[in-house]
Amino acid sequence: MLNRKNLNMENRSAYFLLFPVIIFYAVFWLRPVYSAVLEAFADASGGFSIANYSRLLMQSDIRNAFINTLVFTAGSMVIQFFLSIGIALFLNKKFKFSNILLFITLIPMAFPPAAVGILWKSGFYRLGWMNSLLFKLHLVDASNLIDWMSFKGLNAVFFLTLVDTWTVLPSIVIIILAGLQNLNKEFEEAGWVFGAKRFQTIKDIVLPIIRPTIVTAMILRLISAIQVWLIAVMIYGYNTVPFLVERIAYNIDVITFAEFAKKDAYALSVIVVVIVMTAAYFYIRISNRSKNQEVR
Amino acid sequence: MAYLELEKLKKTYPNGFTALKGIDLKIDKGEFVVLLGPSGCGKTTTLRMIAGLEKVTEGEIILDNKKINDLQPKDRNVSMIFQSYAVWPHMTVYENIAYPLKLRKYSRKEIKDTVDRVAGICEIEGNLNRYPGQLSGGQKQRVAVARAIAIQSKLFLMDEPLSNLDAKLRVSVRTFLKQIHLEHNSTTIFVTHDQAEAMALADRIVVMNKGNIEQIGDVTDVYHDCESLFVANFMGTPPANFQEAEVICEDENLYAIADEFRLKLDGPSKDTIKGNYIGKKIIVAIRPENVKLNGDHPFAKARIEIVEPQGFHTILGFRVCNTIWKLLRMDDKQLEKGENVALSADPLKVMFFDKETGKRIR
Amino acid sequence: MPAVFIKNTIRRTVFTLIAVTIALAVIIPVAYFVSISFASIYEAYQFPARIFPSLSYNAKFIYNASDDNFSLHIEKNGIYESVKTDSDSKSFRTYLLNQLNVNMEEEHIRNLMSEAKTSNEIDLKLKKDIFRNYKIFFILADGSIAALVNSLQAAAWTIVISLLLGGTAGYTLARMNFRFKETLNLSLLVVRMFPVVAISLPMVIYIMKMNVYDTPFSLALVYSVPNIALTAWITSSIFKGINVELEEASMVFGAGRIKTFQRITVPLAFPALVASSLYAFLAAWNDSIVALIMTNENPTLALVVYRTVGSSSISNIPAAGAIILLIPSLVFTFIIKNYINQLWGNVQI
Repeated sequence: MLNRKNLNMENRSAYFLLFPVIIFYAVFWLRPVYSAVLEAFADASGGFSIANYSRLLMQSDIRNAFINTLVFTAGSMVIQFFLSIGIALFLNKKFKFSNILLFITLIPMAFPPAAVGILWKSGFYRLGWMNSLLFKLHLVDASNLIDWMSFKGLNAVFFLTLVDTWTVLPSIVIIILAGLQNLNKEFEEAGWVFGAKRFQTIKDIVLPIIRPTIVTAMILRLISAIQVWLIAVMIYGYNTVPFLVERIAYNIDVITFAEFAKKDAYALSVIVVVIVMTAAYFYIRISNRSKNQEVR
Repeated sequence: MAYLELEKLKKTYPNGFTALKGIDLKIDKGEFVVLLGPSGCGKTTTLRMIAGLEKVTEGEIILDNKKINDLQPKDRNVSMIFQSYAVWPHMTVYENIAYPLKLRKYSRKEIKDTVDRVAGICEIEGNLNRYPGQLSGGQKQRVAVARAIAIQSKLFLMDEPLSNLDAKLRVSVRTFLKQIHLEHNSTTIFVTHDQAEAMALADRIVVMNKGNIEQIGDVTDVYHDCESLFVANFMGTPPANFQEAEVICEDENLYAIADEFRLKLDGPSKDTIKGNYIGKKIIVAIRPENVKLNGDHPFAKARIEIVEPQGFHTILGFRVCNTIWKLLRMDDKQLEKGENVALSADPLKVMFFDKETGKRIR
Repeated sequence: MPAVFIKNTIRRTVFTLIAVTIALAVIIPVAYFVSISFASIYEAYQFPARIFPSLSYNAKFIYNASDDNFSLHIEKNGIYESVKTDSDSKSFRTYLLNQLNVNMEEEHIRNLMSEAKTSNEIDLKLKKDIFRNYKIFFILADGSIAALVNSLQAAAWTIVISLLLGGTAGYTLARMNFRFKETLNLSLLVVRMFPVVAISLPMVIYIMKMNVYDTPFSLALVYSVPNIALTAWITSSIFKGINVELEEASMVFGAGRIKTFQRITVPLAFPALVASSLYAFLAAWNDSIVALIMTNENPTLALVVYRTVGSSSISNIPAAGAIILLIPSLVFTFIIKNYINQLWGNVQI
């Protein structure tokens, strides 16, 4: 390090460079968050109250939204955890078509949520492609076509979990794959030489070492899963399968000028924020229990 | 029957590259064999095929009278020390050493006793509850060694275990590894590109180049009695001095000549050269420690151009026929740059090589 | 040894099966989807749906002497079914165009009619105007092109803002030591994970005050909130990866900090900066909900596609719009794929 300016100068130039960022966030993040919180906890006259929340919690739609969001998040995380690790391990073996297969596996990731919604909606129609496929495979016949759209409640949540998995799995696989490829091959080889079977090596050596990567991927999924709404709305429409952010969108887009629409939207936004941040915090805490294992 | 036999062992990769061109090697039980050569010579490939980490393209590997080509690494009962140590970062030192024992279904008490014992041998008792991330390179090395000796394996395989250590540590760990070998009488195969290391450790050295074995022998063989130009060049620091020269016959005497170079030929290979190489060019090789100043029958006169004092010996550099020749000298006598001297050599210590094949002329 | 050989073949078969399953799970829905985007209304109502789009129809044009009208029959599963019966060439043209995506001049239809009168029954191959759905989406659906432009503008602004603000933040985090560095790190982490939905509503008020409501720029402001943090994170790890000594060498040889940044740091970090821009682009291009909240008359393409779904029970036009939406996304995702190792390989939260 040459001619290191004294500490004050370093501080000053850093602050100078960071000034725009800090201003940006003060204006476009701190203030909006602040006013959203204010609005959420204010009643019609402007005084502090939690009336918004008590009103919300009395609506069965909102209660269902909580349940659906919870089930969806838990379900999709579990399925995606196992599938993504399995597929990443599979793709990591350099077999003949692994590059082409990786290419193909990434396609769903490129779909914008709106496009995904249409893709699956067209499948879920009674005469849509899912039934067409089942029909071609002779698993159903013309008289007992499955009425996908009629599913309600947790059944619908289950199918949305599958749809979501199809869409997001590549983005998780790609992160875990990067972690696997950065892993020193000799760790695994040492396992083999010293007596571990292939699967044992994966369980005892590979997965524990790439744990930080898996945690990262899962947190990103957690945050997104809690905010699910678009595929639910595109396939089932509003109100059929409520989710937290779906309720927010409903208040903004559909019943925009209803009496409590804005308040409800604010209140729900604050709830979503709290849930996301809390979940992320706990997930990180739990997964970093053994932080003293420096892995390099 | 030797303990480990490699028969016509060949390795070709799917992209067509042949790393190993068909080698034969016999290793006895308890031997310390070093596979020595530059990068890409096939030494690590050989080691990995013995371990089972690479598939055999052609040939056989026979260990203790059993063909092991198709066995998984875990079924071959070998120990390995990897170049990067491969000490698992998410397990403590204790767990690292215990893992192979756990896989072999040792009881908890057996595991504890074994781990304590080898930790003592490798002097890492204090680190048993630490994680590898908290250890230095040398300490991680010792963990790798402890893990390797904890199991009763048939073979010890070591893949350039010293190359990531600093110079001083390298020498002390080298000695430590030799001690382990002597105490356990384990059959060891050691891979390195460092010829000094190889000479210090090996019972026999296998010098390899471009997928082939150049020479197998003990230190004396590969250092003083080289089979090929490559071996003569690879062994020894500073490297041997080489001179291309034409063989002529004058008054019943043979000389190898080139510009200001004129060496009288003598020794066991004289007849072969007389019979086959008169009028042809050969390559003369003389090691720096065998070049003498101002002795009998000098082969060249030169001026001292470089003086490199090394403490207990000095290396002198001369220009002979446009090449720098090095001479190793133990004398106390101070020599100055610019001094003119005559160079000579003991004819029995001179090696001759065929210019086309690179093979030794005996 | 035969046992080894059998084991190997079983392994390879299982491998191939898994690979094929994964591939099909992706390809089949996508194939149907692409096929629907090319489907005419008539085709969209057919069951089972086609997995490959068809380029033409096998048809018969039949003259009914008794009623003096004509019937158009389309082949379906080997049988010809009647789809339209009329005597007016104009209404045939309309039918062909709207329901079958077949563009046929009225004069040509009249010729067919006279031909049918003489030979009673004509075999036809009706060629589809394959891209008709796409044309409809852009021309007939309201303001699609304008929405496309809006999306591009929003994306461009997002990239600019994210790179400028996020890039400098990343650089200071990587190269400088200052008080509050840890706080900054933590804050960026929090902002990155923050649900953007929550700030969109209050943002609307500010945006209105700033007089930029319903513009792509306002969208970019919202998209940039998490994106600046993401860019800062990516660029700081990239800059850390660039050896400090390269920059120090430049400064020893006479360049100032800014010139060094320009001539040495940026070119070396270029691939990763490209990747961060692509993430910024995708964030802006793919979003529907922020656009939902923050726009009124000037939606983005993603929002338009979302809105075209409506309540109709077929999705051929929306699918066409979705595919248009999809293409840049697809291209950029594949470009990003090559940088994933650099970006995510050494990741720690």
